Amino acid sequence: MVSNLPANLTQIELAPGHKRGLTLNSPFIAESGCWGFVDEYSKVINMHLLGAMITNPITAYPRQPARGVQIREIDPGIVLHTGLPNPGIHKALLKFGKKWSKFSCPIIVHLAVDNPDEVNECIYQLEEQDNVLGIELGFHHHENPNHAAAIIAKAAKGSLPIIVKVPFENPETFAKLAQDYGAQAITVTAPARTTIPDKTSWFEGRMYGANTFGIILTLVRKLSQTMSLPIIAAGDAHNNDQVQTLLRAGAKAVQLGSVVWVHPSRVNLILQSWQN
Amino acid sequence: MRFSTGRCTDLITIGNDRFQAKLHSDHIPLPGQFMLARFWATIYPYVNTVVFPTTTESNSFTIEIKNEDQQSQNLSLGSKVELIGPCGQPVSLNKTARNLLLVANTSPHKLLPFAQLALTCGMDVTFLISCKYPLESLDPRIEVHTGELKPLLENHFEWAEQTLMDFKPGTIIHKLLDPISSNIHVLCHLMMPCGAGACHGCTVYTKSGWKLACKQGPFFKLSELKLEIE
Repeated sequence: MVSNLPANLTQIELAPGHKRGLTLNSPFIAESGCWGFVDEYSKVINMHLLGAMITNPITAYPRQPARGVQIREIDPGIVLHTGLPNPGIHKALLKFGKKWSKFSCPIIVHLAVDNPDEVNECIYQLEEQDNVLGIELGFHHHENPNHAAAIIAKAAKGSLPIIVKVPFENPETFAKLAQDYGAQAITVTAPARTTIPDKTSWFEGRMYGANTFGIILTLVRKLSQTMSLPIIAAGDAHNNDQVQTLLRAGAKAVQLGSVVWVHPSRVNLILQSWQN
Repeated sequence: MRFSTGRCTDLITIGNDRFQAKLHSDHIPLPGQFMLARFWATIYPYVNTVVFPTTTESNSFTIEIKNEDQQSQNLSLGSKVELIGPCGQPVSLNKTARNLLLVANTSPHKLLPFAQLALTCGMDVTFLISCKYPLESLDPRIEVHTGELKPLLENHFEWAEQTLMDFKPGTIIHKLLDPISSNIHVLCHLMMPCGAGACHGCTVYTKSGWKLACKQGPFFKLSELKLEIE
């Protein structure tokens, strides 16, 4: 890929030693689950200033949205339970493939798969897609580590670099699995989960905006000292100070998440800051 | 969808528990559309507020806020509001319709732009309201009926050529309205964190598959919605 980076800026390599590499022009990446599948924010965000955009989770087969209540406000933030609706990998390529190939920044596809066969099938289809530079693997928060290891190992046999998004609940185990089974980088971490009492049952989902930044910062510092893989921080950073702090703590790149819902104008300032 | 800054140019108290704020803005939502508004400079409260206009002009729109709502503490004359939008799809009025029925069970304000538009077009507007509301603030040309919605609907739905509802009909009312459901639009979601179709937190099941309220709604035809078992 030809760099259009200003001469004074260095590129970010998230897959050193990998045959394809995963070279980004900026350390700022759109987080899966927050930015949609492709161009949902193109009208308001300077997407070309992103290092990469990670798609919303895509599964091997189509998934329907969760029924009933999908959002709850908490203090502070929101809890989201979407059911990861998506058209499945085959239809996703038909629906978004053309846009991905011409998109203004590289695409990383977030895969949420149930078994090694599914990951094989998905990656096989993605390897030929223009402008898809890598795969981010997401796991259920209670995923069995042995099962996850088999998925990572299978994914690593493909030609695209693999990023493992480690669950908030078990980050160190999954970070080690990523390193041992051939991934090129890790994302620290998937959003924390929480449970809220409902009238008659419970509402469980991903937390956004809640103050987990300090926990992620601590993890990034710790893992950067013990891991050889590049670390991508995802801690719901909301401003340039937080982003810079994560980079100083050892992250090679930072994912911008729900800040884009709340302060899209601020996202542009963060993206611009790297150019300046 | 764009982001911009709105400036509060007028505050009008209506009744004893709410007020209307006029926001000067470059971007004006059409009837059926909404804006995401941020009334505070801090990160928390986290989610932007979904606001529907009550009236619109070429360079401003009015929103309604209850005194008890948190955003009321951050609005004063001249204060600035961060806006994202317009979001969602506008709903057009049927050009051949002569009367419009509006139905609300919480607050009627989200449907008021339709009343404004209909009155401008010379249509008759009837509002069925099942909540407390300062009715004197409504345009006197609107015929208002208050009380329990089911009997009110039974008396009014048959002659209505177009209906907009800000309440989710249960099974009984859904069946009652079934014969005219293609002329009825229902407001389906009030929490839409991103407004861009990205977070997938506002999905709606329809007969033609699932849709996103913030992109393809938030008003949907009742005939398109899948009946949910109560």
